[in-house]
Amino acid sequence: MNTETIFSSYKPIEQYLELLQTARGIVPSVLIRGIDAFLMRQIVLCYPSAPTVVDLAGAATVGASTVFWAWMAGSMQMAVGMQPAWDVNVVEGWPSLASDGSSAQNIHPLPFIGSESLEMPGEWAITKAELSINSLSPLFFTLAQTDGTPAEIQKRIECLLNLERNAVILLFPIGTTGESAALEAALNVCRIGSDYRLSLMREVSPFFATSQLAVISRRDNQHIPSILDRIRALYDGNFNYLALAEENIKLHLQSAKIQSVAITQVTPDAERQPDGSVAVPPLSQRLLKRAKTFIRKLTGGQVIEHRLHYVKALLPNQMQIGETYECSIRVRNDDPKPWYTPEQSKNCINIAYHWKSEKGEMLVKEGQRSPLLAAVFPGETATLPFKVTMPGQPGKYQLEVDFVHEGVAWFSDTGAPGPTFAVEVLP
Amino acid sequence: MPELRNARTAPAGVTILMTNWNHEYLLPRSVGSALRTVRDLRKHGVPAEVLVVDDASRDGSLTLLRQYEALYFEDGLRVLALPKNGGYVGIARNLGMPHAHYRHTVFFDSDDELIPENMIYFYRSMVQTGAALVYGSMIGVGDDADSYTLISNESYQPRILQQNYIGALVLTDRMQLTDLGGYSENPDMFAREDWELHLHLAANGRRVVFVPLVMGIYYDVPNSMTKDADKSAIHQKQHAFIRRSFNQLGIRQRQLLNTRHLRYHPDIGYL
Repeated sequence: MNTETIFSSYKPIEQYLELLQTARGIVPSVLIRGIDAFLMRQIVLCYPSAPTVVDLAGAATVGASTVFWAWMAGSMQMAVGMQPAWDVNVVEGWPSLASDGSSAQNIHPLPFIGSESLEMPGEWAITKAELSINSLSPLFFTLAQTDGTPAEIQKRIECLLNLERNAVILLFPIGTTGESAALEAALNVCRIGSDYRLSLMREVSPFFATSQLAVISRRDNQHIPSILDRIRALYDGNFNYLALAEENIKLHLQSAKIQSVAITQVTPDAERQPDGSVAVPPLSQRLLKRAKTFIRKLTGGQVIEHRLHYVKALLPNQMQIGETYECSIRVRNDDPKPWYTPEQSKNCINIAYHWKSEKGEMLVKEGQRSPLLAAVFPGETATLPFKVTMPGQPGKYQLEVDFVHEGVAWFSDTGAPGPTFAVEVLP
Repeated sequence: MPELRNARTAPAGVTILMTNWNHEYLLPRSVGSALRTVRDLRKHGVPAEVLVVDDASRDGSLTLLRQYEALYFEDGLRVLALPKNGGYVGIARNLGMPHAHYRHTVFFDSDDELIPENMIYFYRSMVQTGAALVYGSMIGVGDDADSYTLISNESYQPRILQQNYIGALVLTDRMQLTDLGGYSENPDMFAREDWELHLHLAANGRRVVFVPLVMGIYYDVPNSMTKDADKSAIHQKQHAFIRRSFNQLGIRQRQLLNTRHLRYHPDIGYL
């Protein structure tokens, strides 16, 4: 089972960089991305025969790439580092400082070579012999290139391919098209008609979109495309992202349709209207009521629906602006629970009202509250006094009497709207 | 006792260690909430990461987790794929622990959900009390998805010897856990490893602190491991194991002194 993940591949680099930053305050100019560590490791692990990796990225990554390959040494024929421009002791001493025992025990010391070994084919042949590099082992070069013109980078790549025509080059960081010298150089090396193929890992799968790794290999090397397919399948597998998204939307729409059918096509119950008539509430009211019930359920609250019967109300139909009037209303408590006074419960029942325009638009939601003088028990009918303060502007208004269950809800919001009266407010 | 490597002190911060076994369809919810929690903690200056330990799932979990890791690696999502299923969540948690980067570790099952904005209070409580483990309430959602309960809603008290009322979702000090050997890997405690751990910590004088806030949502998923463990024969065996381990003489309930009724809120103090 392939249990490699980005996390497991990147871990030695992450630990090394953390130590480097803490001890020396060094941050490399080239940072290997987690996804690229994973992809490089996969390419090497999946290659049919154990390759020899020559790491030329050590200077740019301040040893991070060298640590990475040294950690993988057991899975390869050999890893070779370049004679480092940084403190080699940091790299060689790193394993003993690693906090994770599993990483430390995988680290192997690796041989280093000088840059002159790569400049001439003759020198390279001697170096290979000196290091006892198995000539049957496929050769990989790791190259980190951020500076230099495209022509200079191209020359460097071609120089490496002259040394080993079958070599695979792992090149990073590849930037955006038109702005990356490394990308332009790689494209020139792998132009149409050349013997080499360029594989940009970010094009292999949408899940590698953040990758900055490019692989240069001979066109007749069939292992690389096959390995890339295999790595892609680890991510894409049987999972077709767009098809799933489409399916999900379809299911969602289907479910929404069922919901809307449930609300619109089922014959709803008739309810008593504010004017006393009995009618089926309009769709907008039914949807609102359903949404409120849903939200209450969602928040774990108990759905409390109040029931009462308005018998009679006494209030003047012409009043002066700003004045407060004593009114009364006679109601029957049809709730299963008593309505308590403020002295009896903090969740008591108060009488209040809303001011609406003549057309029914809400003008004042929170009308003045009047407390109950005594508890009203289930089934009991009582006449309850309450105060109403007139609006500050003269005109024709609607006054909706309502009860409020303090801290819980208005009765009108829980299935028991109050009666509405036309009132003319005089100047 | 399991051998836990990496006993070095880790940097301050939170690793959300999520174990997964064949919960592919529930991963979007749990991973999403864990990533939102990381974002919220970072907003408060607390470094954090999510470490998903996949216990050799056979459904599509690992493929999905690889995709998430590729998309959210820079946001702190790490995936550790175990090569072999250990059979018990305690083993997976123990194997994951040495890979956690930060000192404080949230143990989180992949069928649950975290409340992101509350984690900072649990973290502050942990740092301020020096506890080995802090926990909070969980909203329990029934398998009909229409009934709700509040669980894990009591401070630590002797009743824990009869019944585990503390959820599996907890924030721990990984160093203290490592020093005490982590979760039990005894097969008899299948799906009750967390209960054994709570008692183990208390028996060793470590603080187990209740913070009166909701830490997450527990979904009563059909065919869960807990339901298997509820089968009476297993249940009885586990109770016998707990009695034998922690209360053979029947006096432990008088001795949970260091942790009894510890309730704490970081903005108030001990309650």
